[in-house]
Amino acid sequence: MTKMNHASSRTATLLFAALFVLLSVWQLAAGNLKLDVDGLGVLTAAGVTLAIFSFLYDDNPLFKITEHLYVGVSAAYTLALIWYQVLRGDLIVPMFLAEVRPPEIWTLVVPSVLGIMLMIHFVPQVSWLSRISFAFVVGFGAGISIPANIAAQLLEQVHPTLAPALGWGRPDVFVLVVAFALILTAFFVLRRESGQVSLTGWVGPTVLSLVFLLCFFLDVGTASLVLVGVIAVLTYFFFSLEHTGAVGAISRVGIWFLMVAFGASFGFTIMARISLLIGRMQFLLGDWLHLL
Amino acid sequence: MIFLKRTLPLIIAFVIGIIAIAIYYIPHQTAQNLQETLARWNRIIASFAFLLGVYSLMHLHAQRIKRQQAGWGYSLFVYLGFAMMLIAAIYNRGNGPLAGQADGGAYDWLYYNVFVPADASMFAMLAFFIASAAYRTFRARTIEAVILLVAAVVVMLGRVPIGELLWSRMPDLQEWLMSVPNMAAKRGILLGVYLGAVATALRIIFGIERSYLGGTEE
Amino acid sequence: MIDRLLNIDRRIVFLFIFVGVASAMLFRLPLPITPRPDVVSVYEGIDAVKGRPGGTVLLSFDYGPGSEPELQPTAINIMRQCFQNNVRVVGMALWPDAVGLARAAFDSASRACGKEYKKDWTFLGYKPGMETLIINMGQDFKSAFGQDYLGTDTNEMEVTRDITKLGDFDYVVTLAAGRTIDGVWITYAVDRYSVKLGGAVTAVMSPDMFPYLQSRQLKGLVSGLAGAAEYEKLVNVSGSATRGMQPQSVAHAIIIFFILIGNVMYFLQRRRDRLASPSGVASPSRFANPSGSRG
Repeated sequence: MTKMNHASSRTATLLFAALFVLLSVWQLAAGNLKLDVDGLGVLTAAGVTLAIFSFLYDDNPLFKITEHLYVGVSAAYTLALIWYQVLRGDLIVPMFLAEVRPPEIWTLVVPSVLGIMLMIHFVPQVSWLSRISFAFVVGFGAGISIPANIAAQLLEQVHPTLAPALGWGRPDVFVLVVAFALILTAFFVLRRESGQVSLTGWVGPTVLSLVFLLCFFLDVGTASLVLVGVIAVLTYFFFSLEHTGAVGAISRVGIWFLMVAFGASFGFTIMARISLLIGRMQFLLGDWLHLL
Repeated sequence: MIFLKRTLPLIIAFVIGIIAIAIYYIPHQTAQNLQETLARWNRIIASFAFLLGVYSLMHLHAQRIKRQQAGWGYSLFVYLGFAMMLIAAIYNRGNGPLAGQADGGAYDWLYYNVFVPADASMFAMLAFFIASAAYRTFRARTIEAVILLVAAVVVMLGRVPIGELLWSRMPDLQEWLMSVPNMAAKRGILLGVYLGAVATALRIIFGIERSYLGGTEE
Repeated sequence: MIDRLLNIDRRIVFLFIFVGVASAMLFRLPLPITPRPDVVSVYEGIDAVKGRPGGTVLLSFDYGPGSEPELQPTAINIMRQCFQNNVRVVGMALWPDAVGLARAAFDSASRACGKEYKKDWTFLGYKPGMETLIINMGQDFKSAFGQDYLGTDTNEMEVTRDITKLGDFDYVVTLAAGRTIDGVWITYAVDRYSVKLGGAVTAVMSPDMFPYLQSRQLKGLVSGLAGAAEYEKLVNVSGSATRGMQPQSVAHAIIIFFILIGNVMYFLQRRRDRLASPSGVASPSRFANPSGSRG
């Protein structure tokens, strides 16, 4: 955790607290907010938002107090939800409060006992009992995941990669030929130094970019590009074979596809973060300051 | 004792795991009923795990206060926030904790005016940090970094209206980039990840992977 | 000068972003918003439910307040679309943090469209279990959700009376900020229980969804705030997502500008160091920021 610079953190606290007080007084004086339940709610939310944002200036006590309050509130919120939605509704009411008990009451007793065993994890003398509950949960989760993942994530993903191959036209063959040429190019520009493959070459990525642009503008070769990309990426992640020679060349193509994917992910991540900021700004400028 | 503490959990994990795999493929109603029962048990046990998490959090802060560690005063605010929300939840608009959850009241007020803005603000701050990080560290040092940079710029421009203003086909280029090279790479990653997940699940069932059992004693 | 610009206080960068986003929100310009095919697929998928007797859509709220600006507008607009076409809506949550947001969305949309609780919509609440909950719902919906959030029996409500299993829903939309969409819904619901699934995800997750779009396991995708704005265009609403596109565009332009300036400064610094060095090779220690710099 960064140490608080006292002068800077004091400035952060005073600056953001003053900002909140002045702007809130302005809104109350202008009649845009009232000191009723809803008005106090907006003021509280604005205060919490500014306290959290004060971290942008520097770590400070106002931020830390708000952060810790939030942690406590969120823990109790989840606890209450679990009580009302699950424990009370699915266990306590059918077992103890219902006028007519369900016939298979034992189907509730067994998981309740396992659940209580889970909770005695923190009692050192009998904490081993919780392993039985963990084993049940983890074993069942592992068991159901195997056939589901094989069917839905592996087979269902491999099929559309290969299926278009049955209906390939000339443009796809063209792309495959170019892909092969690309791999040969990558193979020749790679140099082996002390068993390590050196990282060089503008030729390969330039050819790849030209192929991408051609396929985009002519609207062809999608199926074959996808097949080449998937095989190249899988080859890159296959570390049981040394990445030299032809395998090294194919995995280099895989790296280029991965860079495109990571660039796209980076762009979307920026977009997502900015969207979250826009949401908070809409609240501050709209609901609090009535400027929108 | 070692049988109860170590071997019995491994046997349970194996038996339950094999049953779970088998009943996926058995269409008989008895198997489906068994799957449904085991799934329901799993859900109920999972809710007790939440209680474990909450206890763990409160215990951590209690230890901080007890030992007067650096910053222990802030841990008091954790308890303050917890108490406020818990009292509101138990009061339940006058109905008490054994009645159904009431609509509105202090519980909802604290959720909408403390929890939501705090959570949202924590994530909103990331926009500032990502902008600062992009300026200070995103360098096109290698050809791979240039590919990454170009892809990021195409996506950032193509996904918002400004891209369409700059070039009418920018959104299409962005869409093509996502649907073809990005999709191919993500699919490769996905296949690798789920092959690994299946392998890990098999290791758990056969008792090779035991980290879920906790400490190394016995 | 170059070194000072490269090591600028990060709070200056923060200020640029803040001023850029705030000013773009205060001054409005008309910007073109063209719905993309994946967003149109979700819209058309829900549109296809209208006219079916007892047509019901399930919305799964799998996000928290941290993703509210991106996903809440889509949730409300999907509900509005359903209510305007007399399609029933049932809500549930796989994330506990989503419960309050889901209730707020239902309150807002049902009041705006004059729809009745228990008859046209209901919110079932949160249950833990993720994939085990989906398995329960897939085989016996009422055993998974015997009551809704407010304690009303699902057998007694008109909106859920005829729902016996997950496959009975005509369309399912998951609004996801985490791995529930691929790790839970696609893996356990789509193939096994014949569920037609559309997705609304945060922009961070969007690149990972394209394999599922191509394999048709996901019938459509609304990505982030831009997707929400496109959906608003389809339902003829100018809401918070549409208003957010202008500051989004400005922020993107600022960040691209920062990245380009940063790289230009970096290459200028390298060139300067290479020219200044006696061997003609730039010293690597010059490239790193001094350890005492902020951020």
